[in-house]
Amino acid sequence: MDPAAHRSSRRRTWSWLRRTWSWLRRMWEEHEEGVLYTIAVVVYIPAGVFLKTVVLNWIFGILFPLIVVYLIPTWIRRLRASEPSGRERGRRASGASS
Amino acid sequence: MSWATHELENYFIQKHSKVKASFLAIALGAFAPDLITKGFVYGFHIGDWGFGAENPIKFHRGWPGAGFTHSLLFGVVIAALILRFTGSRGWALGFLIGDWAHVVTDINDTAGTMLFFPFSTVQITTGMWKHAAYTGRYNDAAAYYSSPGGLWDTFWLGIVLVFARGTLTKRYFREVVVPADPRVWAWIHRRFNLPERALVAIYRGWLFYGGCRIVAWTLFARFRTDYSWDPSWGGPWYIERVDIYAGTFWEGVWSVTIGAVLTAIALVVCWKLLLRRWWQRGSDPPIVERHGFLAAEPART
Repeated sequence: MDPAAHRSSRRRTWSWLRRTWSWLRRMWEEHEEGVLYTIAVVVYIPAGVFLKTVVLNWIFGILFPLIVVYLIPTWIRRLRASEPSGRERGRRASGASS
Repeated sequence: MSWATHELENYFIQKHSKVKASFLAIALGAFAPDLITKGFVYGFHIGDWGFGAENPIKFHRGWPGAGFTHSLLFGVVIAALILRFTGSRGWALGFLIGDWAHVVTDINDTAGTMLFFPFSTVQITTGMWKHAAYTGRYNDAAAYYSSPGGLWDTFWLGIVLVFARGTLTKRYFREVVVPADPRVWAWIHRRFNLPERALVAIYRGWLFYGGCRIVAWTLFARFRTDYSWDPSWGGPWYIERVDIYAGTFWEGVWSVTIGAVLTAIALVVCWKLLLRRWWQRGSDPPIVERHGFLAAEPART
């Protein structure tokens, strides 16, 4: 393959990925709840097809949106809040070494 | 039996009942007829012990059996007990509407329901799709989603999304669903420390479950079994039809007519002798205004 064409194709791919990523971030920031419901649907249906009895029952099924839309995000936020950030860890490490 | 319809029709009922009935009670009522019996219909094991009905269809919808759970008076009895012991009119009414919606919807399969039990033990059915519970849960699901039953569920999903989509908003939840049943939602909020976002997720859970199970079971039926799609009336053709009622058509019509009249009389008598008193003793949230014979105070002349 022509190296110039290869570089241009790579640039296009990266540009597409960056645009997609920024679109996803924007969607997440503007419609977090909608994105979480979509994730719930996308996860639940295939899981239901393969793990029928465990997933497609009226207790788990009805509570699944609660788990994906509220419990997991809350748990992740708590986890992140309790853990020091990467920058903070770096600062502590440099403080300890000096 | 209907599968996802029992979850989806709750929102349609909610749209029409507004604050007059509790959504959670409607949902419980819609589950009630199958709540205890379904496990025995499909059969289950605990260790080496197997539990299950010898004749699943008769057990599910017939008499002798648990078919009485799919009758109008069963809903009335449980709703009356709710009214007597909780004093909540919204819960009693919600349970009754949800239960009746389930019972009426289930006349569409070939097993039918004994709507007017105990006055008539004839199953009323439109025979739209075959009741295939005797084939086990997975085969039942595959047969149902290969028959008009799958279309029936999809129809209800469409009805909710087109005509009752307003009931799915946070605003509706805040202004209608919670005020209609403030004690229970407040209890869930306090007991589990859940904010509004989580409570709305629970409220939308029935739609989520109903909609997703239509897709999941349809995919299962189409790609993981060899059941062919047969949306014709009374399908699928490859499932054997099992009728519980063995009499002639006109005997059935006569029995159902007598049953309907006696059920109506029983309801009026029960209301006059007992239920009206319990209803007047019961309470409503402040937002609820009732009119007609369900008005809080009897009209004085």
